[in-house]
Amino acid sequence: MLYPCTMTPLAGDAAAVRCLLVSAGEYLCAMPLNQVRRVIAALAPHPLPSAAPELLGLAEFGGEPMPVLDLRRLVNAPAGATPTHPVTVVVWAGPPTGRELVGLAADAAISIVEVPAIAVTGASRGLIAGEALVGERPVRVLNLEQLGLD
Amino acid sequence: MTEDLLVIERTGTRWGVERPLVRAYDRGGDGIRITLDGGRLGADRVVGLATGVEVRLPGRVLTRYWPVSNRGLAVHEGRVVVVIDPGRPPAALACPQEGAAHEG
Repeated sequence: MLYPCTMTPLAGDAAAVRCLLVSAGEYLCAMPLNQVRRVIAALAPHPLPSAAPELLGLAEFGGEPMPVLDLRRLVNAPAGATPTHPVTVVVWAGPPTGRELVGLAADAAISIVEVPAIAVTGASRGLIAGEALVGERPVRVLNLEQLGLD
Repeated sequence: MTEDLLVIERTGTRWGVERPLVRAYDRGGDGIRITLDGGRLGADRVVGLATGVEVRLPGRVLTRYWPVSNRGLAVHEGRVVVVIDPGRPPAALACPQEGAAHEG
């Protein structure tokens, strides 16, 4: 389930990465489209006792168990307005040799954009590879290979 | 790997205990007591027996954000079941009067 594009994608670039743009609290986040498995209406994960705040719980997806993380907490975004169409973005997390499916709870899936690699600035901080301007709005570009790594 | 599990529930979370480890379960106190070879667990209710279910080792992401020892995850009747490590059962399954279970 993807929503109509409401932002103007950047001009094409040879080194651009096609990304899914989602909102998480007051932040916009871009995640590489080739690591997105599916976008579905928000799952209702079952919480685990003593879990870190980022872990919302476990849910079943395609007959398999899957952890669901709170994207807003992962990127330390301030809380936004109550989302009207929250989603769970099912992504491949971790390095290619050991990737696993993870659900990321987000406020909304917005559009697919192209993020030129040259437009990503700032120091990489784990999950956040850097920031870029998309449609004149700052976007956190995610490196999902870092998800779950210390 | 596939396992036969006794599936129990406590505070909304479903847990699996490898069936051969279960000696008995009975009602006691505020819920169900499950007697294993090495101790007792407490549960709100017994969900049922799951036979031949696939148990997957916990992934890196789950371990990163939930550092409670477990044998893996399974799906039973559409719900995720956490298979306990009988040597280090989670504190959430401690019998109230015993408090012997621990986590880590």
